[in-house]
Amino acid sequence: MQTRTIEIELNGKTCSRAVPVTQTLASLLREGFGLSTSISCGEGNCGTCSVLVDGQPVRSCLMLAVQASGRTVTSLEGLADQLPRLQKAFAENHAIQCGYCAPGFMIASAALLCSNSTPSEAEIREAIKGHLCRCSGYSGFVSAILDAAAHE
Amino acid sequence: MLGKSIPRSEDKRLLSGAGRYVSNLQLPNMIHAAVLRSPHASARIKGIHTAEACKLPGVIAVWTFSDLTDVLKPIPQVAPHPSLRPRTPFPLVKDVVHHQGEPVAIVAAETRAICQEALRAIEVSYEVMPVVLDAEAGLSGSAKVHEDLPDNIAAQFGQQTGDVDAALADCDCIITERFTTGRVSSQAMENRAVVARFEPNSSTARLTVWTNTQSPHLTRGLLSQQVGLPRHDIRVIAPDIGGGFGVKNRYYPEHTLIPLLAMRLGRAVKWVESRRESFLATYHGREQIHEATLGLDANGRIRAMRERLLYDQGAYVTLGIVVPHITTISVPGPYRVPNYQVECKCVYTHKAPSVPYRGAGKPQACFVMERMLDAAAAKLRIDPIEIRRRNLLQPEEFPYNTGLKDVDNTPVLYDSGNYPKCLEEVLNLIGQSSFEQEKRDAAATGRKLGIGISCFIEMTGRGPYESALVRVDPGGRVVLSVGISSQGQSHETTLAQVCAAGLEVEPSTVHVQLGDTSIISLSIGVYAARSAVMAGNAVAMATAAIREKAVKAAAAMLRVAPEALKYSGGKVTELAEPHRTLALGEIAGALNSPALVFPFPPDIDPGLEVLRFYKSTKPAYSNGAYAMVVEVDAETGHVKIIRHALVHDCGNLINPAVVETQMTGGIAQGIGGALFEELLYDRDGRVLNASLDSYFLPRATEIPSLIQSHIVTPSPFNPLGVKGVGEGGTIPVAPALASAIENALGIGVQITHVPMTPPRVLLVSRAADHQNNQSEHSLQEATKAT
Repeated sequence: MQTRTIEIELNGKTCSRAVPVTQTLASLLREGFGLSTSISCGEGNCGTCSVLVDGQPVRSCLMLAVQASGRTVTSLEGLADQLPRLQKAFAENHAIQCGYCAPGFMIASAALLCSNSTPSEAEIREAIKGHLCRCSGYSGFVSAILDAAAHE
Repeated sequence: MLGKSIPRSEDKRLLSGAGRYVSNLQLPNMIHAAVLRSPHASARIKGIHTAEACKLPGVIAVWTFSDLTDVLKPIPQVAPHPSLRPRTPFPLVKDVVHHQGEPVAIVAAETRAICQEALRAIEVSYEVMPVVLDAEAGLSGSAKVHEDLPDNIAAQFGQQTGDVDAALADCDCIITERFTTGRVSSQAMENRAVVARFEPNSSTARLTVWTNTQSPHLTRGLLSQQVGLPRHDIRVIAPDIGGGFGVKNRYYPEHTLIPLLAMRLGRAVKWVESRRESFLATYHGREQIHEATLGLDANGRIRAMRERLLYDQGAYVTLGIVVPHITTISVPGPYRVPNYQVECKCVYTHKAPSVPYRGAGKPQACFVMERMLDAAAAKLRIDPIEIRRRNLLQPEEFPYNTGLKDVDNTPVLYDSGNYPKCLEEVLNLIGQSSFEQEKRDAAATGRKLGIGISCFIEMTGRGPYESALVRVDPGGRVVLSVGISSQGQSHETTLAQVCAAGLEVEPSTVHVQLGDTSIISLSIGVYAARSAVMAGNAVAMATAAIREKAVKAAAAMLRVAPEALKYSGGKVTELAEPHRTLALGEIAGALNSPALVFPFPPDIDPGLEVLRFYKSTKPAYSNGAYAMVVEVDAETGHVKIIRHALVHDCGNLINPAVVETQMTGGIAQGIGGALFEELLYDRDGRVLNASLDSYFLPRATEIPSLIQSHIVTPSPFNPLGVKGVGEGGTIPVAPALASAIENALGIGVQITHVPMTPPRVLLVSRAADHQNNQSEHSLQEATKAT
């Protein structure tokens, strides 16, 4: 299988790795780096595998690892300063149940709060509508993000 | 401790990306597996050519049925019933395919990518055969699903209370309607997965299987039969599970195939389902056809009901007649139906097996009854809320014996509740009294608003038993081991609360272990909203026994009579001399001391550890009332939920926040099922929408926050007084939505199918317009004529 060496800044560290040209970014993050990025639909519909690429949320199952070369990639583990605040708000609002979709929702929340520190409920719903959760009915996410914004 | 909304202990790991899902598992020397599935629904396999696939670098094994004739057996179905003619699948198709997605071959290779390449290199020649597309086609006998069953009937059964014929002959109003509910896929966010490792020289269980099952012990039992190892030579681990919803309670072909690969190849093997496979090969739910007749007196009081159910079984039976039987006994719901007759036929079709999916037959039953009441109200010109008030069971009627028999022949006996109060409170929550004004205001700006209300009950906490093992560590920590697994229901939190309450300690001192057959030998599993009732009460029993033993042991340690002691706050204290206390950990240490002399009377065994089973055949019935206000776009058929409200009674609450999130999530799934979700098939029995871009799940912009409140009527049937909550939310949504849409469009009862997708709403809306135009036209004609 054809491979190419890529260099990415992953969660604040520069990493160089030879990857198969057909490998998705999601697969590289999971299998190559052992990160929490989960795959659910694998075809861009559910948002579970979302990560930040150059600060923007991206479905990593739809991006090839080679396309991430030279760019900054942030998974849940790399949210750094934002992570404790989001974890607290998610936990206090019982936002998640099975938790499988959680990494994607936390990435979406972080991206939203970076661009809009005081989102309305409607703006939050719009920002997370690309993410599927089958357990929660979404209202816990909405209140959690409102809380996280209020405690910034 | 009970009744407090403490945060979930699961969240610490799940919100840091440390979830232990099966697909995250990496074992040394592990290889991957993938399954080749039939693209046809009905076909005979003429030949399979695997030579090219075997030659690919990295491919380790390519197996078809003929490679495993020494071991493969049909997967047993687990709920026998006299009326049943069960047909069950082999883990790999032997010669005839009975539904699209059935496993035809399995590949093992060094990577998942090589597996996929190998699947493409396998050639199968099929002789395509006629298909049975639905239950009615099955009954017509146009084609056969199983060669030896010309009528395609899997089971037929029925029962009656009172005398329906006589009662119907004496009714003022009789309504007959036909209802249909579509076939759905559960679509948990985590796909199914199995990892297996075989260690032939292990001194403990040699076969270890990690899988996202709701019932690790059931899986172990069936796997034991399938691969010929004793149960205790197998360890099944169900770690964090990304949603279950009933379908992950079943035993699937991969539960046999992946362990067999591990046993024969000597390598750990991992299989993770793709999303498309989750549509085709993970079992389905919900598809039913109903013909119901309801008889009432002139005041709208129900006198009799007759119900005929046609159940689309799919190609195989996996759990007897459980789902259709639940539907047949659930149609009367929260209402008094003095005479009731029901008959059911389960029909084999060329589709994936239909199994319990969240609600397990109850949402369909609720849809039928609530629709019939709406139709009766319209015919009798009684307010739809009033007709419900007149028929709801009253608080003083409990325990209420419906006269019906459950599938295990026990009486269907409702334990307790206050059904009318739930209805009245939900009317307040939704703002029913001011709705007419709101509707008029909206109409003035061209918006069509409608309101719908439904009442429901939920049978929860089915038997036969559940287990709990409480062990106190000499350091004072408590380890609670339960047989059940968790798919997101917060069991680690809620069962710790029950344990902490029983022992009067902080929940943080209780560590909960679950989902592993090695920690507790016997358990049934997670389904039918049974965990709080069955496992919860098992935990309560075990803690009561721990307290009793702690007092007895403390009496020996303090050399006083047990009556001179009291248990309080996780300690045993001498009543007369309160400074003399022993903490649980100290007692546990004394009971397990390595000293040569065991300083206790002979009737006390070592250790502060107790295993208890809670056994019950009397379910607890949760109930509630649900209301929604919707806006319907008559031009597009699009339905927008403006607000919705629930009043719910699940007895004593262990953790109110957990209950509320369960209900909110259940209702969200109910909304998906009511508005969008339905598997569509082509004429050859192949699924047309096996993808999340064509099978729509509800998103955050489609479900407003749920307004909800609780009333508490404890169950008298179990010591904790709890009732289950897992499935309830899915039950009342579809009938409330149908009423609300009709109310918005100003039409009578015309919605008879779930889901109510925009094209279907549009059809109903246009038919209503046409009818209105026609009646207006004939009115004009009549006016002209006079």
